[in-house]
Amino acid sequence: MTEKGEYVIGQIVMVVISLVAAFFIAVYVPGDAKTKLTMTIGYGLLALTFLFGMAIMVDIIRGNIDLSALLCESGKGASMSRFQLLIFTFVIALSLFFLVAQNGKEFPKIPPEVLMLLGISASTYAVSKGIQVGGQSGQNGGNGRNGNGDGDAQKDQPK
Amino acid sequence: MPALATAARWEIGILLVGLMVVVVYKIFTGGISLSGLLTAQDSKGNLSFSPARAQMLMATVFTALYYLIQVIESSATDSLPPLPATLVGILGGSQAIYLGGKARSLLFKSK
Repeated sequence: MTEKGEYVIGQIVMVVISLVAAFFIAVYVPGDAKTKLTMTIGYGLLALTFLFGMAIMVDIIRGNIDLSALLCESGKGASMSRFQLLIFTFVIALSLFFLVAQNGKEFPKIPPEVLMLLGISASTYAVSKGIQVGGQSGQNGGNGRNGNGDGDAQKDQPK
Repeated sequence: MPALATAARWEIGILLVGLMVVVVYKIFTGGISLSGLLTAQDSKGNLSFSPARAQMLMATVFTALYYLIQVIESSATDSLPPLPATLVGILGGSQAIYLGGKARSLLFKSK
């Protein structure tokens, strides 16, 4: 069986497991109809997202989802802008989860300084990408004008 | 209903922490490459140590650790702890230096 076929079967199995879990909750959990409906939908979605998340994580561990270039720029070494974006994303996500797990009832308020920090971090990544792409296209254009360029630059010349 | 919230909390915890552990494990074992993190090409195309990247790494690690400690110390509140404006300014300046250095090296290389 092809790899794509295995993925489709895996997804169908996950959906079926979620539906079976939801069915058992709907039948056996005591309470009125509204409570049963809420619990059924809640646990069903919870099981589905958990299975999808675990499937992605298992694929990352087995190497089917390749993360080797997560921090690399195209054809070059590791990028500081990607690295700092990864660190700040993890730190803020972990902090939010920590507070929700500790206090529980509502989503924590996020101060503007933290939003600014994330904005600076993501902007740095975007600007860095822009500089890199601009530099590459500048080099290609320059090479094309000098007659040493690749095929694309030569295609632009009038016949 | 509290049981549903508890289950959701556990699920997010397992997925989030699991993903972080996998990424950090791959970084430490070389599955995610960090080679070239502190080097940059000069105007002649040679790879050399980049002070701009080193200072940005220090500013990033310092800010991240400072914020994690703040979160652990003030875990009883229902809000994320604020960051000092000075620290945000330092981080912004650090990243501006990195971007300026990168733009400059690419500008001189393309000439």
